[in-house]
Amino acid sequence: MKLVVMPCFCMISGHLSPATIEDRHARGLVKVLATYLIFQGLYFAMKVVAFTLAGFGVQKLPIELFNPPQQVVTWFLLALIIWRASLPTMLRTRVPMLISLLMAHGALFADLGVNHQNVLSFWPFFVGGALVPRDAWAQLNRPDVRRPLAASFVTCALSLALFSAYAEQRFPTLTTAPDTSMHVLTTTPALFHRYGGQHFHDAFYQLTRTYACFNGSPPDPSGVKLSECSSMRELGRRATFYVASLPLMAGFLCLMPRQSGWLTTPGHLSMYVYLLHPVLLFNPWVLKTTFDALSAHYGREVTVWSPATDGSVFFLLIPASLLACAALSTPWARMLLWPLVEPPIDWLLFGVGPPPTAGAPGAANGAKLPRDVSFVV
Amino acid sequence: MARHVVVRTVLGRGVGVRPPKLLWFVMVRRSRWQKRRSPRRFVSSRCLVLGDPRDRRARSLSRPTTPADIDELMPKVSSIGGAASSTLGEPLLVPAAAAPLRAKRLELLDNAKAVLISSVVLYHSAVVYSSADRPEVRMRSSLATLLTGFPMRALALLLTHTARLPSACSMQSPSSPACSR
Repeated sequence: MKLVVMPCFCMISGHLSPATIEDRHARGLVKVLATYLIFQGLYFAMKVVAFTLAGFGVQKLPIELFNPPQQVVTWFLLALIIWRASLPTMLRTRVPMLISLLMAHGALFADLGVNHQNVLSFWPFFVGGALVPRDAWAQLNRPDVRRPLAASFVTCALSLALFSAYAEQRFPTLTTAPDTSMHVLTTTPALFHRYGGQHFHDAFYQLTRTYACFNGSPPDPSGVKLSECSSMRELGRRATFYVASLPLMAGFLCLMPRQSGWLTTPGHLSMYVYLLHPVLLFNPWVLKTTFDALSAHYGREVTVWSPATDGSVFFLLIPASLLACAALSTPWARMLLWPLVEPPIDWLLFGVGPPPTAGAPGAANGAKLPRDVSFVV
Repeated sequence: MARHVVVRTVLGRGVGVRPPKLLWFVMVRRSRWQKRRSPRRFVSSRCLVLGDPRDRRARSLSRPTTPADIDELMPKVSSIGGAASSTLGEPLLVPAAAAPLRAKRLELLDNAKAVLISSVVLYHSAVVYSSADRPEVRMRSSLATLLTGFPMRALALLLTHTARLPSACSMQSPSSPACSR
């Protein structure tokens, strides 16, 4: 997921971004900034309420708008503004891809930190997407290209899943001790362990560290300090990350259906899902209810810092996440929540367009797909 | 009457066009007989408009193209849209209700975004509720449960279900070779 998901998003955003900034695009960037401020304020309010409900102390002022200490999903909006604003200039340079790669690698040694390191570390994917020619998707659809790429992606994903599950699993084995001829119950590494499974843990740990450095080493997950990211070793790993993600992204895209279907509408409304899923899934009430239920199930206190690792939790998370995605990509969600995701900045600030009195933008389309409110604004 | 397709391009700025406004192309769609004559060509001709053709002031500023314009712009123009460049023999065409063409949506990318956003939501949920981003956790037990428990249970369910169906043995006589095995 780490090698594919956000790189792919950035690449698609770059591919769909215009190479010039006209008035309409500039207004779109202001709208993204307004959306950023709205949601960052909302997330901060949720954090204050959640901490207060849990009995923890929290600093209410200053409002964490531009430099939140924890990782937030709004980093992508900030990055999008910077990337979109700089794209026309970048494309006029001789080697835009090389420049973005140099900046992304050099960012390891800069004091960017959480939520800001991403702006540069994921930049090459955005620039790469802008450089991808329009007919590349048709090339990707050719059977001789599509099949091997898709097969390699599936093989890689399955292998990683199997290794992740079984790499360190050991089976009990009854053996005979040579000196005493007594039967001894020992454990034998599983098949995956013999075929490199012992290295999987190290590889996964390193990937987690590298991705943490991509995100500016957020304090929670891996314990990686920012200073540890500023090393030549991490520089090499970041370069490897870029190289490794390319075929995986291509393989992933080869697996995607090319016709309009039930996936298309959530894709159109991906910005709604992206920005609103923390509000739906991680609001103080849901957090408290879920952790109380998990604590009762485990017989111990389960919190964000004391995780629930049982498989049943993951079983529940999959349908819950998919349900949340489906709910947030419905027309009703858009009709209700569009002022948050699509604030009427055009009319409010610039006096362009009709006043927003007719409900959600694009609601008059009826059965048609709504106007795109995905990552390309 | 000719149908006009107005395409706004990226060439409006920085290519020496005066007045320095957006450059618009007005491509005249070909008639049927033209298509029969040369099916590989997309348009019959192109005309250049300096400024937004929907803007009255821009229209008043527009002028017929000159050979100098063509010499300056055609190399760049011909690289857009994949259509071969042609002479600009027609007068300046500025349809009042012309609107810029939007790029065709790629369903592939929309579908990909839907899958990606679902992955993001699942990952964030796993991070918050089971700390999946910690290297020491990494959902090992969860994945093992998924990969062992679910397929085996699904297989058992399927086998149980098929066992209730009338088997080949019951459909045939008990002495058939299928039952004796």
